[in-house]
Amino acid sequence: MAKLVGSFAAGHAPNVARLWDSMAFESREWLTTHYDEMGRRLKALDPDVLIIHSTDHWVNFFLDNIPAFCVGIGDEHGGPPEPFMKPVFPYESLSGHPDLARHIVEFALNADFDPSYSMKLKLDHGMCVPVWRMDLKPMPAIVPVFMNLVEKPFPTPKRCLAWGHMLRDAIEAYPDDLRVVVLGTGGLSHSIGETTMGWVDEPFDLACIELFKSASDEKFADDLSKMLEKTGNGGAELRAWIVAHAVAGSQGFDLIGYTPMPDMLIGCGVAEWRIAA
Amino acid sequence: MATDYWLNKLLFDLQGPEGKSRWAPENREGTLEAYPVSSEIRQALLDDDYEYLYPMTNPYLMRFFLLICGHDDKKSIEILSSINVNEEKVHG
Repeated sequence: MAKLVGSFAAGHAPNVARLWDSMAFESREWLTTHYDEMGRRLKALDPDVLIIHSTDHWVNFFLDNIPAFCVGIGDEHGGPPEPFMKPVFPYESLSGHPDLARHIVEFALNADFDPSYSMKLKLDHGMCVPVWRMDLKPMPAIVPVFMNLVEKPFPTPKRCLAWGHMLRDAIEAYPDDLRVVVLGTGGLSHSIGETTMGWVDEPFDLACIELFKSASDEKFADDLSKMLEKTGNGGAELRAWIVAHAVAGSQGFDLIGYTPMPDMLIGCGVAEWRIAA
Repeated sequence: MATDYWLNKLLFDLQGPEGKSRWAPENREGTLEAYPVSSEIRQALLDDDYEYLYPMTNPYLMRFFLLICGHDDKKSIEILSSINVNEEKVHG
């Protein structure tokens, strides 16, 4: 049977790639130290598959059709199309795990979720910045799950918690022996293309970190729903962290690091969850 | 919020490899021919009237649009912060 062996989350600011060679020394040091540590921990788990949750940044979907959740079931996925990713990201494409991905879709539908799925997805900076910085070698197969976190309405925090719990059940119901790690990317607070662009809401970030440490699912969903209404639009990406939290069993986490990073336009967090039995 | 399909479709399409040249000043009018936006939106696009466009535009696409118009993060923040709008009403 497949087994969840790890759950992580990290920010994915495009400026990490765009400004890598020109950013302040302190920023590059912080990012190097903390993403290296996450990569070290993840590599030690020797995963066969990495299930990544992130928003799509207007790469795969437009207003013609925006799924709340879309699971990538392709044999392979396209690499990031953004010009600023080309010089840093070493892969034109990344291998998928279509059998596990199809299993997740089918399991979700039988559990009263309604995800879409796609055989042809491009993985933008949202998924590829953390993967790049962790320098995973060999690269595990990737099952991407895009969540709509760029154009309202979004899936609720409560629904994202439920999706994470369902995903754990789906992984454990998969018949083959696979070591699976879940990675949620995005956040913490940021404001993009709004009148408040550049705002890093540190009190919001610290309050979220406290919720991840010990809040019950009910309190978590209630508090976060209210908090998200009062921070920048990038805070919506906390929903990818919620999936990482719930898939691990909502039993607290180890914050690898957090720092407000105005030059990256985000409050940058990196975390690993304890996997509850 | 993305309330105007064709305005946001234009910005979405400009993300492609030819986006910067398609939105160069000498090519804007020709590029706009493929997008049936209102005359007011068309004029705002030609005039770089970001304040007019802002309430109808997805913020992530607006951020990208400012970049393709030649504005770095610092200038984009300056432009956006000068827009007088009820943020809650616009972006919920």
